[in-house]
Amino acid sequence: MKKFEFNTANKKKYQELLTHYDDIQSALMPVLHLAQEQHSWLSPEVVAHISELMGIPEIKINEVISFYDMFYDHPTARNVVQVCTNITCSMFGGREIHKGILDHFQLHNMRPSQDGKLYIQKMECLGACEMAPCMRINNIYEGHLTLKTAVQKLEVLP
Amino acid sequence: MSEVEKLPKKMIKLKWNDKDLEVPEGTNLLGAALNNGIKVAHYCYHPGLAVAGVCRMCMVEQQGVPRPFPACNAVVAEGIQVRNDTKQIKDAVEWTLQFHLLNHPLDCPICDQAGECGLQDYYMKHGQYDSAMIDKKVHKKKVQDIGCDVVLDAERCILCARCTRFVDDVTKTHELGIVNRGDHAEISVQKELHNDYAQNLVDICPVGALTSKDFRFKQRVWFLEDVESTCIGCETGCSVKISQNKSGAYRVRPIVDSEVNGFWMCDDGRKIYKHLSTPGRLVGPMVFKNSMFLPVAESEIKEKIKSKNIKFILSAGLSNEEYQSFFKEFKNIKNITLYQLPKTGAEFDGILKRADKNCNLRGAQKAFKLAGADSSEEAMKKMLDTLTSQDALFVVMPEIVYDHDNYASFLSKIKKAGLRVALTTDDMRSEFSDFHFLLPVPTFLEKEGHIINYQNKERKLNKGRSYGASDRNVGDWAHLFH
Ligand code: SF4
Ligand code: SF4
Ligand code: FES
Ligand code: FES
Repeated sequence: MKKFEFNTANKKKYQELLTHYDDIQSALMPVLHLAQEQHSWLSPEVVAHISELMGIPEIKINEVISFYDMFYDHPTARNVVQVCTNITCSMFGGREIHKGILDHFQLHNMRPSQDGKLYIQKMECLGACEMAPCMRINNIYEGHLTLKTAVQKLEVLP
Repeated sequence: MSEVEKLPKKMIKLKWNDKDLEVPEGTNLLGAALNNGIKVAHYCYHPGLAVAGVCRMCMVEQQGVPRPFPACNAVVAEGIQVRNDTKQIKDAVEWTLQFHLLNHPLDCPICDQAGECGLQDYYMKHGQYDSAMIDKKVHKKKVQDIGCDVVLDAERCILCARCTRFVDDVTKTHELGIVNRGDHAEISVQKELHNDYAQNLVDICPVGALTSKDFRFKQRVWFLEDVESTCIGCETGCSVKISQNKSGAYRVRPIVDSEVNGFWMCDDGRKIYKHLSTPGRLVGPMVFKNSMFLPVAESEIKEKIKSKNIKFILSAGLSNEEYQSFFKEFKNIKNITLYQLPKTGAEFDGILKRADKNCNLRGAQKAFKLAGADSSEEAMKKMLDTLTSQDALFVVMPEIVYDHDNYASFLSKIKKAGLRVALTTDDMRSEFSDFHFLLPVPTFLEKEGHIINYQNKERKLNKGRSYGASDRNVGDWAHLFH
């Protein structure tokens, strides 16, 4: 089991995050986001480290991770792509875009591509209905998609 | 209990349906009803745990309050009028129960909880009886061995969070949590259970989601009767009940005893029933002959001990009454000492369990003192060191042994006595091969009596069914000497 630790920059950020809250538990969600930024997913090693760091039992951290769709307890890829299939986006073809992307790249929902480049996730409302149908590529919103433009945007990713 | 808690509390008057209640200030509203014998359906409330208010079964209406609310999440207040027998509340409870059962597998015929299940009980009262289910049930993991002899069936769980609160608040070991969301939420264990109180989880789980590996499938609960008694597992002396029937004893569970154990007991105490109904229990006096134990006439024992120097080593686990009768019957015998089980584990584990495993050391010491006998370990050691072939040594064996090495070394030291007799509740034949004779004495469940715990509190042993020769206690064997 490879041990996880925050890198120097993130150690600073971690300390800074703690100052935003009255108690350490409240900082859990942003700390998990920080760890996920660095490690791309929240492996058992990451959970163990954060548990020790923050004095929160591992099971409590796993409760939080499993509750939220944007925390990953399994490996993702260099690019995490969240395709909205909730009501507005679906009315504009969001489901077809999600399925079309999977077919095009021959992937399964929520399973990283073999080359480690793409991870596609079907999502509920991303809060950007005004640009439906939309998706998020590594936290950057892309709207008014068609299957063709969506695929193009994914193909040029590193 | 702190000094503050001992002060008499102000009493509060309130009305629950048509019944007038009077309870101490600060009492939980649902607790007030339950303590007064009112039956209210509830899953998540447990008087020994923090309030969660998640099952929504205990809904009530209160005059002057616009919406129904869960009674477990409120404390009593002077003059309030609460009802849970209105149409609105009955509907609410019915629908809530329907939701609890949506994904329930309904496998009562193969469920160990059947007969003492909160879902079954309340369904008879609040059930809708027609299934309104059109979607498929969500399936979850069944029969998961989660450690400490506890088995988890996630499908049967109703997410009351009693178990998670128990490991968070009581044992503070935090092994359990609720993972995922909505329909898919389920109890999950971090690695496995690792605490000394895990069987309490089985007791507090209101449904068949957590069952005991030790008890599963051995008996249907409606074929068992409970005998209230006291745990002989250590000097804490928790109040317990033993479930038994004519084919044997099957489990031990705690009884609420606010002075001693509160709501819980430890997992060691759960095992004190194991020797009660083993098939090899003694049926009468036995003699060790040709490498085995055979029944023997009392006259043979009488004959053998006649010319000998009688010595006794008692265990520290007899009842006060047994010590009394022993010292009365054997008042002519001068050589009487006490074998104390060695301390095992932490002095006190912070919850209930104590290192001193002698359940009635205080009772023994008191009786020894009264009789002018020396109950110290030094006296026992001195007796062992000075045994001779002229001695007939009678050893009253401890009923429960934790440290088997210490016990074996104790037994190895008695061999210098010319004649050795064990008085035992047990059937551990191989450990007894250094004895010439065995005499049966009753187990803790086969006699009435009292023991004194570490707080000097007296607790009762009650007589249940007997599974061996148990009609004579230690003092009753005195007739061998007359
Ligand atoms: S396993 Fe039992 S005690 Fe735990 S949440 Fe489920 S129903 Fe409640
Ligand atoms: S703490 Fe001691 S008396 Fe209580 S259940 Fe455990 S062994 Fe028995
Ligand atoms: S439905 Fe897609 S962003 Fe709201
Ligand atoms: S017992 Fe009150 S909400 Fe569960």
